[in-house]
Amino acid sequence: MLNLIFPNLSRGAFSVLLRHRDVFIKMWKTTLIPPFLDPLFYLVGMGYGLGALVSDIDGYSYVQYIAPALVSSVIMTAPFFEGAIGGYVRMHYQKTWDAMIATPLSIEDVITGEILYGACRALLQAVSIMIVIFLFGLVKSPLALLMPFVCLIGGFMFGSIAIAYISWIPAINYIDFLFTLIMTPMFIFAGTFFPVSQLPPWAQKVAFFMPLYHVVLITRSLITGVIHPDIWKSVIWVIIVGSIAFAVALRLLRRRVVQ
Amino acid sequence: MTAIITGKNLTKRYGDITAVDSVNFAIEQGELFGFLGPNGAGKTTIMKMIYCFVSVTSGQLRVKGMDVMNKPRGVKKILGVVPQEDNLDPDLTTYENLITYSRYYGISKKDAVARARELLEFFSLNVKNQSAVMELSGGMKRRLTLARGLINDPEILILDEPTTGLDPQARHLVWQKLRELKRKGITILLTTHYMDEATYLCDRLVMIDNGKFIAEGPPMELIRKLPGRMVIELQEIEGQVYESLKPLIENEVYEYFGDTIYIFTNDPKPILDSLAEMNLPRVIERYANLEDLFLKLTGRSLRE
Ligand SMILES: Nc1ncnc2c1ncn2[C@@H]1O[C@H](COP(=O)(O)OP(=O)(O)OP(=O)(O)O)[C@@H](O)[C@H]1O
Ligand SMILES: [Mg+2]
Repeated sequence: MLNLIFPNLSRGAFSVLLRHRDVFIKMWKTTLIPPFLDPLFYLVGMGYGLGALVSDIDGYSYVQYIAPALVSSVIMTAPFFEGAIGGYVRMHYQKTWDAMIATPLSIEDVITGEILYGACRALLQAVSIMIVIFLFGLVKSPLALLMPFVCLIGGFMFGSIAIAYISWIPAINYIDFLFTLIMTPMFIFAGTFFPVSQLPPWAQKVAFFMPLYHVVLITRSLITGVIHPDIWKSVIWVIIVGSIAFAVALRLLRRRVVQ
Repeated sequence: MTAIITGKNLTKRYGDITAVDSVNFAIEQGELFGFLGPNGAGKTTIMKMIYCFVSVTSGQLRVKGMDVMNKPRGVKKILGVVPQEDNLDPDLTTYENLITYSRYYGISKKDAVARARELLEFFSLNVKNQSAVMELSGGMKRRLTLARGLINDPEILILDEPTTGLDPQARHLVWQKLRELKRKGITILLTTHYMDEATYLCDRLVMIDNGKFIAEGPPMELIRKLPGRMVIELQEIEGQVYESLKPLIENEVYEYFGDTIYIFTNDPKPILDSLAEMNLPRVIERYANLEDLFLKLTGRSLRE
């Protein structure tokens, strides 16, 4: 069915994913440990340190409030880093994509493999953090077992956004704009470390359009077991925005890579 | 003989630049076909159109009956490609490069392992099996790229300057391998800036300049088009000396460029005799070759 919507897409995308898996396994010390420590520091420092000074939010202790947000944040950052930096390096410097599309793979297969890999990275890192917060007793509901699905659709969306972004930048340092203008604001304002209700009304509207806002909402519901009434809207939002970003990424990259 | 690759009025434009300008060709199955031309002539662009890397602006290009614009997957399945710029996967070892690449063709693991071993042997890369690509020398990288181009047992091999930067040993190894592959019936397309290589290897070749074909045929036949079988080179000739030599060689076919006079002739002896008393600094007598034709057709000045 996917073939009807994306005629150049094939199962070959999985062979690209496998290539990334192989490289990932070779380099797991650098690929897995730092991004896993990062949120751990946030959890301990902000959750327990700062949290001691902060009153409960929506009935959660502060550390309980931010734990799901830290899981959500890696669903964003892992595919952002992998898709934008890794993707750009493979596209522009290593010419890995050029080598791939000289085989039966299409550029769409290559891009899809990249995005799927971003989603898998999101899954892996989010699950690692969930294990940690579970050990801290911060996973309150068996609904958290649904999280892998959230990681994959969320990671797919963020990966597609990152890949679409690199299709039109002229040089690698433009990736900084993605991080400072898109990633950091989401990391801080998307209902992560404080509720969006703290924001002025116009900013609350902006927050609603932040992809991370929806991922946080879903994640917090599943991990705490207190289901937000809008959870379905957020799931649908992520799936729709992810699909659009994916379609845009495929189109833009074909234009950039194939002259 | 049947043509396996045909181009009809094939044209490629990048914006205002016409890189390939309405060329026509038919490459026979099993043939080793060369593309020669100065920098920027359009050789790589033709290759890239064949392996569906750049789109065809106008005209038609078919590989084994398949239009490259409509059936890129089918075309690429039967091709092996060695691009001009190395694009080996730097995150993988020599061996892993072959295995990973074979997956892109959907080759089973078992076949891939056997094939990779065989190719590493074939290109004398066995000892570098587990080396990271970064640790390979330029020539080894080139050989690995060749091995990678053969991983899918292609019917057509596209080689864009496969021997640039190789030492003589490696170059001869590659030539020998190419002849072996040709014997197996593989069609080979080759670009090179080495005229001796083209002469030794190619069954037929075309010379390209500014996106157009300016000569085509078997190399020896092309060489015979030159005005003489032999060339006398008078080197280190200054302007005044040239003026004084002019009357002596006025009946010969010659060319003066830089500091050298090139005289084309079938009978060099009388000319050399007549020049003997001139005490010229450096006189060389040699057979005319493809390079002479190339320079004659494309001019001796450097391309921007
Ligand atoms: N991606 C591109 N965008 C714009 N122009 C290009 C592009 N690729 C090639 N060209 C132009 O097309 C022309 C043909 O280039 P091509 O690479 O085919 O030459 P070539 O014969 O392979 O040269 P060389 O011997 O240097 O490899 C040149 O004028 C080049 O500048
Ligand atoms: Mg070239």
